[in-house]
Amino acid sequence: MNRHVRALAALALLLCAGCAPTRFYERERLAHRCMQMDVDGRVVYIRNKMEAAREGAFGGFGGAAAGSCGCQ
Amino acid sequence: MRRVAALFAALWPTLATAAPNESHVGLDLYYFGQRDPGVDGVTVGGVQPRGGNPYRGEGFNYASGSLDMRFAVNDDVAIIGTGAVGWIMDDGVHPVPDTVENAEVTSASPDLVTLDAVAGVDLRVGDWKVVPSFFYHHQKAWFTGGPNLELSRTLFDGNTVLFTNSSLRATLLRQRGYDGVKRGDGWQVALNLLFGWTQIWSPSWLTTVSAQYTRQSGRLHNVWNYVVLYDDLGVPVRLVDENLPGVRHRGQVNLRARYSPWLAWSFGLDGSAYADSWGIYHGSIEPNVELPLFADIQLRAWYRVSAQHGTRYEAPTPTELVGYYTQDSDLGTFVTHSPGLLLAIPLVTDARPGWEARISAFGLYRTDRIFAAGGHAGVVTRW
Repeated sequence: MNRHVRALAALALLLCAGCAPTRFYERERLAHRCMQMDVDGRVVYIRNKMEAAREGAFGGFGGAAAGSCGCQ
Repeated sequence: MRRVAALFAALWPTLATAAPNESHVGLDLYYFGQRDPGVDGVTVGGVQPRGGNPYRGEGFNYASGSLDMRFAVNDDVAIIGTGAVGWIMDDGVHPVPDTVENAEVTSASPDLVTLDAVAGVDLRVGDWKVVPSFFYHHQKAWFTGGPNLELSRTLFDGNTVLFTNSSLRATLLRQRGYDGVKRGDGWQVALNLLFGWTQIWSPSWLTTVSAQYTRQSGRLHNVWNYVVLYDDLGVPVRLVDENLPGVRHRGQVNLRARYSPWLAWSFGLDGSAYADSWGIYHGSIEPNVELPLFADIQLRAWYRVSAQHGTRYEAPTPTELVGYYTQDSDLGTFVTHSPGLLLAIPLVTDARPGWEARISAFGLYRTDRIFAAGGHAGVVTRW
């Protein structure tokens, strides 16, 4: 148990080591469209149509997921 | 509606700012084909099993066109609307054995047009984004529609962003069954609550973690997900409506990461896992990459793998109707592979309105032998 706690603490320290504030003028790469989580709403629509119904992929990786058309 | 907004406002104070309002019109054309060839050499009751219900072929072709619009009235109000016309063509008729007496057809969509529409308003109310809307879906023997409300708010901004995104939807269901008999109208209510944390770790990488709760209630069974009832000799004798609980609770966690070593390049990893009160466990992982090609054209490619453990209510060959039972293939056990790619092609970028074309291709393969392929092409203008 202690080993797990120490490993988690080490991981947190490692992550925080790179956690210097990013200034607005340093955000050129972050602001580019390639960093968007879902790049295109219409692609999300058609993927949901293919992959989701009432089951698993429903809602993808964190979008609103409150029902579907249920089309057959 | 106001009570819900007031409740959220009281629970989660905020430091958020509204995003600039933009207008757009997008036209997209879609096509995909799905096949359900069954398992070679295996029969149940004399019929080759398909994915899920052995008597329901999941194969079809789907073509559609959609128009997506957003008109910004001012900085705080935009009118949104989507209209889509689709054409579903079943992949051949799957015969029902003569021993089944009460079935006329086994699909809601033998060959017909579907209509979808959404109309609503996107509002900035204080620090909240509030989107009330109505949706509508119509095809032969099948109608759904109702109100939908989405609420979202950025709670804390900067290198650490906390946000919430919630929705509430009521759906009226009107269906005619496989036996030609109209079912009574039913309602379904779905509540979705999501809380997320986005962290900018450096000028080149960020992560988002979110937790999600979904509660569905009302008529959760689907007339077209019928169950085949067998006699003691294994002969199929009747089709009956599936029977599922009137409430479904679901908890989900999502993790998304993006790393950009160079401008316009990104490497991403998305993952999610959920469990629900029907006994379904599901996990997904999706690595993706985006890179520039030429003339500012961007290519994004992804490969999603998900594994699902099916519901405890699955009944492959029931001989009596006891408790809850379903043969819906989407609630079953399977692994899905789904690769895809998208080309975003800027046409006009240095003037207003801007124009962009989009072309995508998708694939899907499930280990229960359902597979699909498709794509879309579209153009959008923004101002």
